Amino acid sequence: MTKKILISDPTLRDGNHAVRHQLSRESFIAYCRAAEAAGVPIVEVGHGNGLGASSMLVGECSLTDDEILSLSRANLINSKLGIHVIPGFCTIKNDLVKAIEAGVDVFRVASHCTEADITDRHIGYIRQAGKQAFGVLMMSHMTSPAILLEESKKMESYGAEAIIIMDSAGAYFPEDVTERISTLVDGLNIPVGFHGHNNLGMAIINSVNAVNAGATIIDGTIRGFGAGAGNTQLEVLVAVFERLGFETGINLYKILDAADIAEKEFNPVAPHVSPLSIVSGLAGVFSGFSKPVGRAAQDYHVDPRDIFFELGKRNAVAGQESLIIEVARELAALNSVKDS
Amino acid sequence: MTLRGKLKVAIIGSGNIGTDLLIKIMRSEHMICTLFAGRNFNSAGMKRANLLGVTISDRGIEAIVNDPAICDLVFDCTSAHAHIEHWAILEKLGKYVIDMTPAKLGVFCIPAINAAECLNGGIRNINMITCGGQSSIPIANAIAQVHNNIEYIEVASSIASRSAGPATRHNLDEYIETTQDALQNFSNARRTKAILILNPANPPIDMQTTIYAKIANPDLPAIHSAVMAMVEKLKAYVPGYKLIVPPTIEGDKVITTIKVLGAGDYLPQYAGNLDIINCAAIAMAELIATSNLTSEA
Amino acid sequence: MKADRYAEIRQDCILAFANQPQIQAKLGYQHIAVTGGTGFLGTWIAETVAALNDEHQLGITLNLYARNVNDWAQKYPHLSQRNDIHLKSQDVRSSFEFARNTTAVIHAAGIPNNRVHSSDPLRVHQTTVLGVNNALEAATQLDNLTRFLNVSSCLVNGTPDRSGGLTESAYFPIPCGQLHSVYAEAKRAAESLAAIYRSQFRIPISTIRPFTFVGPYQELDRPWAINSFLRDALTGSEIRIHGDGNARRSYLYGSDAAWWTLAALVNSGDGNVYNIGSSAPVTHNELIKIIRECIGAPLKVNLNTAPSQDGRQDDLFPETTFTAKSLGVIQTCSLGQAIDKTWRWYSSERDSRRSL
Repeated sequence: MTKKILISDPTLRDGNHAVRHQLSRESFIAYCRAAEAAGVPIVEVGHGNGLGASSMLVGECSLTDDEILSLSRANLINSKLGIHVIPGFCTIKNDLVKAIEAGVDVFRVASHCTEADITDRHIGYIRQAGKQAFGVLMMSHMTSPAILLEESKKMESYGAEAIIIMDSAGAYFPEDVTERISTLVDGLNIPVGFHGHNNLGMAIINSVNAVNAGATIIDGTIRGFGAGAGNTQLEVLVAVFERLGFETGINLYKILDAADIAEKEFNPVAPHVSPLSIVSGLAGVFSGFSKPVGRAAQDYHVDPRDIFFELGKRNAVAGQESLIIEVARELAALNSVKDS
Repeated sequence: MTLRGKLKVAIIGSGNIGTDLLIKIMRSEHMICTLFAGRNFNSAGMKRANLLGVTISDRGIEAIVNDPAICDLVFDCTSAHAHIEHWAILEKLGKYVIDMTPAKLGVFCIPAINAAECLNGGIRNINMITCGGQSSIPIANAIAQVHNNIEYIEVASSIASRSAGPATRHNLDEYIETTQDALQNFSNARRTKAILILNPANPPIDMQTTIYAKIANPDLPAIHSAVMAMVEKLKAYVPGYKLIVPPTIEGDKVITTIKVLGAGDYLPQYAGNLDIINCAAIAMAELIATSNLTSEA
Repeated sequence: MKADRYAEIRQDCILAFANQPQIQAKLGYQHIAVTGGTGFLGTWIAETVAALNDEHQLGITLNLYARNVNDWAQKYPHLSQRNDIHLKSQDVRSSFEFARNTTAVIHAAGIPNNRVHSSDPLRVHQTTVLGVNNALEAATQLDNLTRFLNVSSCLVNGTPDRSGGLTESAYFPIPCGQLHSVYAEAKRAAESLAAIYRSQFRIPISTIRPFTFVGPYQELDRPWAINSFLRDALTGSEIRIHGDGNARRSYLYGSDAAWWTLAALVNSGDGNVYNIGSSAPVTHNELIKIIRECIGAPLKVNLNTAPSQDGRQDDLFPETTFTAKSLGVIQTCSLGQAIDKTWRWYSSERDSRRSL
């Protein structure tokens, strides 16, 4: 029996990190249509940190959530419309109610990997409304497989219908993925998914390992468009899965066409494994920090790599962008002491 | 009205907030805790209160209904949902209420900003907003004293995961909505946003809050002195309040970061988020206690 | 509309205790205390006692103990305003006393909601373990206690690794120190405490282990399969089944669950354990078929397939030979009827919410 893999495509969500959340209306329309044509099952859209996250802390979005949702909804027919939300940024009243009205199909409710209990009410609300809710554990490299399972079980008990673990810093090696995914597959009654980042060049092989360990949902973005070094590159993923005999339902030629469209549409910012994103992977710090770290390094005349390693030491989590400036200031002060 | 010249206060809710308040009240010259009421005699807070020789009850609000003379002021440390019922009862009994929940029934209170107003005009229900609100709103208010037409204010707090109990986690939405409303109220900004991040780092981080203000042509020196003056006011009742990044211009925004170190009374020092809202509540209760003493003298 | 709903529930209760004169007689003039009295089981017990008193003048009194009794009192005035039903506000984690005239105790306080098992496991553990301890302590002070019925859980048996119904003596390992087994472990500790009080203090204790119940008064936000299916059908959403749809559960309707519990109160033997649940299992696929027939409309169904775990049959339902024989009870409401009744109850709840 061939393995069926559900591909969820956050190009229009994670990709927003790569352009400081400035994706245009035209980009949303063009890519929704391309993904629809290729038969991508779930198209995830929004601010890089999800609905309700547009902010000075993590970056302001050029489009409102409402605009993004109505644009995307209008251009998706067979592909499901997905969103990402992080309680603490979003609230039920401000964001989820609107998203349900806007016709979102799949709600991916995320928390830092050890904080699943903040998703209880949000997952519950979505299920009450009869919508599909997935639980997402971010920065999953920061805890052990056993704790990941415990947190996943919390989300399962709230009503999550799948659990996706994110390698937000692109820090995993293939065997790390195998260990975690198989722990979750053994311990949960719901499907398990993997969301890779490419900081250390491991995104594709990590996704293949995830499937071999029992994962049935894999995230990938076109051209790898996403935070930091980028995500698992979707068109490569589809090709590799086809060769391995995993069924994705995505048309290879059409997704390659989508990659061409994306190349033009998202130019010139297609992410690549930059020196800084390698450091972010090694330090185990959220890939999305690379842009603000670069800026802080310039402002305070310090080495951005030092900032990353220091953030890693302090266990910075996504959403703690404010810590970047503090670290940069402290490093600058330290440097001036050394200089004098 | 008072017992040996002291204001009689009751605490309902025997969790972390209630118990820490109790320890702070024990030090007060102007207040005495005459009732510590929860639901469960086996809770750690109840046991501590019992050891301290305070009258305890597991009947919650009923303990006050059954003996209305037991107190003049009530700290409600239960939940927003429960507070609605509690206030209906306590209002009839004519009690002062300091509401520690995000129920938003009373007047929003930041002692450094509007203590006096909260004491005047017969206000009986004082709402202490949220921990993030107590730490960030004073800064927003100081900036608003310089620029009265701020376009947008945002506050992002990160707190130690360990300092966020089940109730905090369950009420994240209420936290955000209440903080945003109060922020709007005290800054007059056109738009406001509040964000809360739980940080699981071990050892736990101190509570840290960053205030972002979008202002056309900011007057940085004036903002700086207004913020410094506000920080001094806060330090008077929150000893662990500290400015980490003074107002700094970054692009089109002014950024300020503060940190709150807890007093370590009942809770660990990293729980600055719980400490600051309690310090603020105690500051208000002390004012009520002393103004009563004055009026009697 | 509302009156009809409660009239139907009254008929369900009457059917559940029909032709059981001996048990009815034994229940006569009992003063029953129910902890967790405003939950699903407690509410159905209240309905049943009300029906028994009205139909057969049995003179039973019922004291319902619960943490928050006001909401329940407002929601169900047809029960709360009766003079044979009394509400007592009490958190069982704190020590308390039963009314002195209490003759029988049903200790049903507990938190079966598995969302709370995840979010506030300490409250779950304390409510279960301290709760049974405080209830047993209170029971030792009663002059006329004839029965203390400890409401445990089918989860104390562990997770079965074989197919078929569970007998009372079946057991499977439960991993130690795992968050998701806190409820099961606490319920095991509660059964141990009950055994201690029975042996050391000679309290007449027996135990019931509920399996899955269905019916009005159930909260649909509990993430159990049948609730999810009904809720999704109600909102017109796609029904998603985890796995291949072959997992089997059984469902006992509220009136039968309450009557079996009351039967256990008067017919059970010290130290005995009784499964309370339907012995007729259905797969999730069959359950959806029944829901579809009941609604009379097509349902969108989707298998949310997780890789099957070593292909074993996922079964959780009781073997009830011992219960039926010793308590003298039968299932009076079929699954089809139960689904139909539950469906109509929630449809009217939804409609009344909409009209607000």
